Amino acid sequence: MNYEQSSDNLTELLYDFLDGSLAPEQEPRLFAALMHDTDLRAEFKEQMHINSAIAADEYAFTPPAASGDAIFARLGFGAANDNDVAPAPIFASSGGASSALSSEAAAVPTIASRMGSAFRRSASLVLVALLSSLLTAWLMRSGNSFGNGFGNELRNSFGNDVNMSMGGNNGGAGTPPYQVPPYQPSPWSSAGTSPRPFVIADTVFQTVIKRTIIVERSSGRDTTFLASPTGMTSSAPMAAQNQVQVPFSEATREASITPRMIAARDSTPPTAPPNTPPTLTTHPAPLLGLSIGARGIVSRSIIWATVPSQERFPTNTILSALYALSAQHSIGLEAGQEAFFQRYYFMNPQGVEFRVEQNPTLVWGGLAYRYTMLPESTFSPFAHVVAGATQVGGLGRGMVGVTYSPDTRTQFMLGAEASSLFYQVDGTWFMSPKLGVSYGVSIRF
Amino acid sequence: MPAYSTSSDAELFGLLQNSDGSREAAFRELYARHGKRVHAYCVRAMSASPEEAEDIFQETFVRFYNAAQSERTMTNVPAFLLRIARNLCLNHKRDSRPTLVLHDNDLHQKQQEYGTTELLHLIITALELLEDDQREAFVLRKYDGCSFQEIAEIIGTTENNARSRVHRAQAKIRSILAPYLADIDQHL
Repeated sequence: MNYEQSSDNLTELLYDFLDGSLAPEQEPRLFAALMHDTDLRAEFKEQMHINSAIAADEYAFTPPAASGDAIFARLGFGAANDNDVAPAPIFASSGGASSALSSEAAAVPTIASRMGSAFRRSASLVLVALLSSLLTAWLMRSGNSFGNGFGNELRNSFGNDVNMSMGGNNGGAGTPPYQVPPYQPSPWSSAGTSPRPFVIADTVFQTVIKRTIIVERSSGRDTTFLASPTGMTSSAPMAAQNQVQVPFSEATREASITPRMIAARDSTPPTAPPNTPPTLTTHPAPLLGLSIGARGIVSRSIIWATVPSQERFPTNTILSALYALSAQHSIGLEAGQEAFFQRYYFMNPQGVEFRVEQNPTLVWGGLAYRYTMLPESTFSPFAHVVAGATQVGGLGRGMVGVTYSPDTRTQFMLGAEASSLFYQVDGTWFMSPKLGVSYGVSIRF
Repeated sequence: MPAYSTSSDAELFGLLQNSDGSREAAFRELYARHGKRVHAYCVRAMSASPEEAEDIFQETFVRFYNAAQSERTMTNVPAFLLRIARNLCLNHKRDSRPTLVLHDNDLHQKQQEYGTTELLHLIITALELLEDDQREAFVLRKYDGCSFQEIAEIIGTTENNARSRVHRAQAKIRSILAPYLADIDQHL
């Protein structure tokens, strides 16, 4: 072993000692060399300085908190600090390389994560659909209870001399059958005018049924129109507004259906159906003017999103409560949760500019205004605007679309919307615009 | 979320395949344990801008998480993380143009003694002058505290070769810094 080899060997021993990996049995040899070798001692001190400097390299050993948050966000986890939602630098301004990396990352999720992602995104759609179904089911059930005995009425309307029960629950046990009298024009009707509804009822909804029967018979269209459930159900509230209601009693019934009416019915053949069917106002103003709704959003950021959003259930869903100031104007409150892709720039204290990209799922709330163009129609265009706020900034959204009202209470909507998040970073305002389609259902009270 | 500070890396890695909240907690724990090492590697082992290093650092953990969905077991999580980071660094180096890197933001994060700061600046500059394989081995050894065997596994070489690279890097840094080290020694 020559001197050079020996020196190299001692240096390696020194390095291992400084790294804490020198075997104990070799330490005496190193210490002995340090006592006599000035160069080795100098190198020892220099390496100690280097190690100390490296240990003080806080920049290297301190991952930015924003990087951690960005990682968690990309994996669908919440940020480490939930209060710090906005500033989460993810991709720096270096351009191509980082974009390529992020794109590559987004392109290689596992099948499991892909399925999980799809499930979470579709969960919001399912939520809206489920809510719609529940509300529709509730309405149908309400309609059945309101119109209990509807089936009997419908069947009975086909014949002239059948038993019908009137008053209370039709067909109920203990209710005496009532012989439908032959048709008699309404005592209030006059030539050249439509027959005035003749009403015998003890509830609003029975009023509707009885009135409809008589009106239709007067026009000779007793079966076709009555077979329409829509006509039956949608006419319910109308009865409260337009009809003459007579409290039900045996005396009223006997007084209303007279032998003259029966004779007239038997002697007068049904007239031909009119060219214009009776017009029923299907969408009167709701009683309370309140509309509760839920809608989903399918939207895409105008700024191409390179970062997947946090998958927080339910996302892209909005709940609304609107109050009708008039038939066309409504105001109310809306709240929702949806993702907004953010891209902004800021300078760190060292003067390095960062480009930040993140796609947080934000909860928002705001004031809403809706203008309904044709409130009396089954289909009506509308315009809808919202001004609100999220945890990180203001929110504005506008929507135009069409509502479909199959009955007085239920209303489905489909619209195209534009929205944007407005937020401020280091005194500079940024926005996250989106375009999308919104769909949903609301119930009017 | 339950704390997993006493769980081993292998146990935490296994939890990453769960579908409940333990997955997130396990990932956060692994990030807390190894984030510094991976970050140091990304920042110091590659000749890239700090922004690019941050990109690779984040991408490393994302890929690690995705890989954990299919990998059943993992005996050495930090080595696996560093291997992912290394592959990303190599890909980045392959795809990018040579750039002049100014680590302006390296030295002023917090108040440090002048001598240490100055020396650190010199070391970082010296690292830029090393060959890639030597710099990488040096960072894995000095910053990440890897054993020579771990370095060999990560960079795909023998243990002796890893040791040789580290020692050559140390010697070269010392030679680069020699004029300054003597001066700094007088100030410290």
